Amino acid sequence: MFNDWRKIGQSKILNIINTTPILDKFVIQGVNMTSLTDAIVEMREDDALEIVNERVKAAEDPLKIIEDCRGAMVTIGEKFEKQEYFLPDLIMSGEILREIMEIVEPKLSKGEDLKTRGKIVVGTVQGDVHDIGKNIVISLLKGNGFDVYDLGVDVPPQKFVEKVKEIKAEIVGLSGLLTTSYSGMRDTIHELKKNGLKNKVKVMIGGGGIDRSVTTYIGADDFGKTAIDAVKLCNKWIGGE
Amino acid sequence: MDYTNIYNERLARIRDCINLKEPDRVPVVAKTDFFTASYAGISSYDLLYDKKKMIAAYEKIAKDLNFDGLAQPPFLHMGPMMDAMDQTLLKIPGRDLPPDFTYQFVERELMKPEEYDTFIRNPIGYWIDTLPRISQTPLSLLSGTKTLIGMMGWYIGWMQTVKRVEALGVPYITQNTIFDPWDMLSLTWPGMLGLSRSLTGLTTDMYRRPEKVIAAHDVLTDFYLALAKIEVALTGNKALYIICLRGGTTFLSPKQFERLYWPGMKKLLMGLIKEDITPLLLLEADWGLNLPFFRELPKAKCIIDLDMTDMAKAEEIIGDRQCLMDGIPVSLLSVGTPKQVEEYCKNIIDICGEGGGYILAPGCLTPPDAKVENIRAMINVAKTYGRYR
Repeated sequence: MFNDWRKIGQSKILNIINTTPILDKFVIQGVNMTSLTDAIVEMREDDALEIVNERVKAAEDPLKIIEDCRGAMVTIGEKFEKQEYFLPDLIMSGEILREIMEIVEPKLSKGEDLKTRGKIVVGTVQGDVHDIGKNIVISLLKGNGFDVYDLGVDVPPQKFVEKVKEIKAEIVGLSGLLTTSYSGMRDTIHELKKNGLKNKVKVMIGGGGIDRSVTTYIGADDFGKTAIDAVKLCNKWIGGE
Repeated sequence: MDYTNIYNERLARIRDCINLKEPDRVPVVAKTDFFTASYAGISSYDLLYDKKKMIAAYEKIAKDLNFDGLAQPPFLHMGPMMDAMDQTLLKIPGRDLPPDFTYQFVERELMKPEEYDTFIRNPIGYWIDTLPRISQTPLSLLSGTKTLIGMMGWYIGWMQTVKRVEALGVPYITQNTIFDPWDMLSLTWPGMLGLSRSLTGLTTDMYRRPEKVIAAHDVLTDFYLALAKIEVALTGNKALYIICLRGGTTFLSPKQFERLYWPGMKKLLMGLIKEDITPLLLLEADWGLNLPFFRELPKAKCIIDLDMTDMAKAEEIIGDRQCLMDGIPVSLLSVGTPKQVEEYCKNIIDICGEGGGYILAPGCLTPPDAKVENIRAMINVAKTYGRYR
């Protein structure tokens, strides 16, 4: 709404670039590389999608587009930490990213796998069916380049174990809103221990009633108050940061 | 035994707090929710389905625990009504969930973004057309009638509970309840009409079509203000519970709050205050950065019940304007020790108690797995340490 002037300005510039062959060759990459990141960070959804479509049309390497998106997500995370951005910004940027991936993913050539930063299994534990928080965490982890396997809600401990074994996950994220989900979290960690996996994976927990004392009580490695906390933990544990 | 004196004594304590005066000591109030069941030794399922057991459980709480008041939203004995409408909004303990758990809300998008205008033009018409969306089976004359009977049973059961609890000397502070109209943009609750855009849906609407969000919020505000007045006329109780789930800093930035949320909330609160109704705002999650807006309200007119908001900050921002209520974390009640609860409560009384206008209570709703000894520790601190200094 407030960014209409930019949108008009930008599409005019893009039009000129597109209709001028020489400019197209020389300028398009430079102009768009920076502006896609800006468009996502500033939540200019239409602009972001338009730029992505242009870049896909220009046969640009889709991985470069994805890289720009990740850059945007990092900036958004930083702004959230500084309380410049809030939950709606996280949800909206996740939504923009999802739309971009819908355009970009089919362009990835066969066998060309996204370079992932690590494998994470996430689910809401047994006895709890809430999924808003979990879904926001997943969308942000994906946006930050992690490979995330969503087990859904009301997930029995054994399911977590099976998935961790199957994909050789490095991190497990347990979600639960209510105090009654503590037992589901404890059971899941117990099951991981029983299968000799607890020292192979890090376990993070999150949800409305989760704090430091609960984390100790449950036996998890750490907890997150916000979705960005989850990203930070994964960066710390496997992201090489 | 005649409980009239003790009832009046307790009520006076709470009245003093609302008026920002110092009563003889800090009152302690609870929203006992599904703890009612675990304390009385019945299942959560029984609390939803068995009226007699529910009333007996509340009587036990009222007799045993010596609270200065109860402020429980009425959403307990709803089982028969929910079954009649074959609803898909809540998962039920003892059927979809373990029997000693609370029910759980299932977030789903039931309204499409292009339907805002239909709702804004004719809200009741929209609800009549779309209400079947919350059901698994199509609405029939039979299921409709059963739902209405279930609703009446729910209401009567709850009124009987209120009467019994009050007869035992415990004021039931808020006998009327609505949801925050803002929340009803994104969800629908059994017995409370909403739009169910879902949190993600509503959030994207805030960026894509904010003018529709504002218009629909205004319609919902008018609807819930009218409903609140009807409830108050029916019960004769002049306090109103407003359950506010998604307006805090956890969910909205101060800018979004100012532009999208506050105009509706202020209109609602001013409308209630004008009718001499005392709103009790249950502000779930963290409201820190959005609390200053509440300073615009006239002084000593509502109770602000906080959940995860920093109480020291809240006291500083709004403590001189409205009565505060909080705020022992549910995790502490579930996994903490009585000693930890005692320390927490003493600390919070030190912070908020000065000058009156503070009610001790668990944040959010008391969870079913809260330890009884922790609840007793909380009550004990109010009685022994809760003197105003």
